Amino acid sequence: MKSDISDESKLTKYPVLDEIEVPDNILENWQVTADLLASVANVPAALIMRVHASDVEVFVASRGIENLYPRGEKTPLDTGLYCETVMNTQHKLLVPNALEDPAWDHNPDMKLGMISYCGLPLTWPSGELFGTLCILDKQKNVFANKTQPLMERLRDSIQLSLASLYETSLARMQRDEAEREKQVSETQLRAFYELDLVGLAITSPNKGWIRTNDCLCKMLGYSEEELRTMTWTQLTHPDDLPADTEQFDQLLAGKIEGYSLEKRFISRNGEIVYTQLVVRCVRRNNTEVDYVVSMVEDISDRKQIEAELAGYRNHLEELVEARTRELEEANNKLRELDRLKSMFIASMSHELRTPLNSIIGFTGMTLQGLSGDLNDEQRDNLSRVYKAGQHLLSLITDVIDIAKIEAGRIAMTVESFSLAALVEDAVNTMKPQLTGKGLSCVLDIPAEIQMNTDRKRLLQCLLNLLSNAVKFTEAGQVKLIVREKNGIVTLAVSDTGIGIAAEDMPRLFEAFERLDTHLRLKAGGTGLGLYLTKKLASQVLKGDVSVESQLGEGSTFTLSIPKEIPALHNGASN
Amino acid sequence: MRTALVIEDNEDNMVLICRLLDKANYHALQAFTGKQGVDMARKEKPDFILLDIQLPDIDGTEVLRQIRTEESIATIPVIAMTSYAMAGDRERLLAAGCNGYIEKPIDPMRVIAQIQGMLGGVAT
Repeated sequence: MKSDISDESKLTKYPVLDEIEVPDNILENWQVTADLLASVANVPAALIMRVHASDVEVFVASRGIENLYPRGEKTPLDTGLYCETVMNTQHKLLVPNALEDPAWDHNPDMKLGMISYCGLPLTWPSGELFGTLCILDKQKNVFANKTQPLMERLRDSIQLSLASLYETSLARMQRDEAEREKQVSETQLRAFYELDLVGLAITSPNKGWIRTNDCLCKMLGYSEEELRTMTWTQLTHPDDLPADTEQFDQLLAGKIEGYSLEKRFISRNGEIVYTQLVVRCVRRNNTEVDYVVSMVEDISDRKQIEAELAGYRNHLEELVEARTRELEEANNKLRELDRLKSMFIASMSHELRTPLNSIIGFTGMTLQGLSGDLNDEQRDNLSRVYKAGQHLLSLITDVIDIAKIEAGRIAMTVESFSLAALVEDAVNTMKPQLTGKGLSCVLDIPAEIQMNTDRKRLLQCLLNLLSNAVKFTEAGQVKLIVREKNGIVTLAVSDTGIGIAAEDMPRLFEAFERLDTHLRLKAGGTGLGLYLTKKLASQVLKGDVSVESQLGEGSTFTLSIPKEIPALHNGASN
Repeated sequence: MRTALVIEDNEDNMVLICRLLDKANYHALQAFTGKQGVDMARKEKPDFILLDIQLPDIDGTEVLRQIRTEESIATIPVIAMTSYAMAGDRERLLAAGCNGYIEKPIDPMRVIAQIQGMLGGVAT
């Protein structure tokens, strides 16, 4: 409270204690004092003035018709009253004759004819100003004899009563303040307690309910009175009871101060209430548990969402399982199809080729005249059968190879061999066709190159390229240039044939893409040669085949493959 | 006249090979199963054997093994004939002790030359 006063004092002229009321019994005492003083001093007015923030009040006035100061009259500050001088100086003021001093000219007291004055300051024990005790007269007066000592004694008496008043008031104000603070904190506590968001309970060490808030009562379906006759164990789900009591016992034993857990209560209507429980204990003298405070949060909604999520999760798992099963079945079917395909290839290989063996074999034998002489027509007929048989054989062989490559089942047989010997082999095979068309064959092969790769597949590729060159060249030459650099061998087969149009290039290496040319029918072939060559070059020989050509200017097909294939590629590539 | 033993289950192939051999002045003996082939080899001691690998009773590789492990016929040259689809046959057969390898279908224009080439390196 003092701080409030000093704050106030900054705004007002004097530090004053306006809050303290002077009780009637003291006022009566002071009235008697004022009357006595006026009478003894034989003056018209004896006053006790009290100063306020902005004025000064006639607090007690001596009774008598001569007294022109009515009790309760207030005069604003800074008007020049004698009292103001006393209050300013906080010292006794004696004015025997104000008429002699022009400083008092505008004094309101003078207007009432009071030309003499004697006043003493009155202060609270804490130093704040209360006011003055004063006497006034209409004539010159030095207030001699016993007047001034009497005033001083009366002043002391008033000061004493102010002191006691101050003490009692201060004590009361402190009490009031404490009471007010207590009320505020109780209101806050109550607000929290009655909050409808979370259940709160005070329980006994014997597990009985002592107090429960509305939220908890609603949650459990019992009134607070009913709960007071029950224990929380009665309302706990049997499965959750051991976990709770175990921790509670530890609390009682002083091992822990609190705990939290998720538990289920069973409400009055038998419903399960999922809660998050937080428990703290309050101990008497830091030992025995006095009571236990619990916060109970209803998490049923959360649990329901969790359950739904778990449901979705399970459903998702079922879906995934079903899909996985379907995929497995599809996979199994694919594997079965793949197996059937492989079986088909194997049986194609054997079953289709066995009759061809006879067709090609017997016509070939007869064509050689081994079974007797043939006339021209017979020779021509058999020759057509023989060629058709060879064509069918190469078609079947190419199809089988492609099927094997596409199924990843092509076998690779790495062996060491001379490239020159292989080229010679290939050219020898091509010789009948070359000479048949009157084409020359130019070879440009550097000194011995030893290869370590799949000989049969390389020969197959080279034969394909040479055979194409011969097929599409009507005059001129077929040239084979072999080079080796950094372990890469290139075999470039050039011809002076019809060449390839730029727009046809992209389709060149696709299956069954034979370019529409006037040579098409004449050229024959399976339409699989370049496709197969490309596949063999990349997947078996680990290289590539490329082409350069201009329409009408011939073509160059270049096979680039590593001279050696690492040993780990030996055997089946898959 | 040299004697050849042809072990082959397919009749067309058998006739073709035998006729080609006949025209080239070989005497051809015919065996249609592996077992029959081994028996005839033991009995007739041919100058060389043409052996089909896919046989109905015992596999051609097994026939080859039996020939190579029987002292009286172990040194007779054997030329294997096998279908194109049998990947890795060539190495396997050569490792098992055959002297040559002809891929089916046989080329009637070249087969006799092929056979003679393979036998050329073998004392018969």
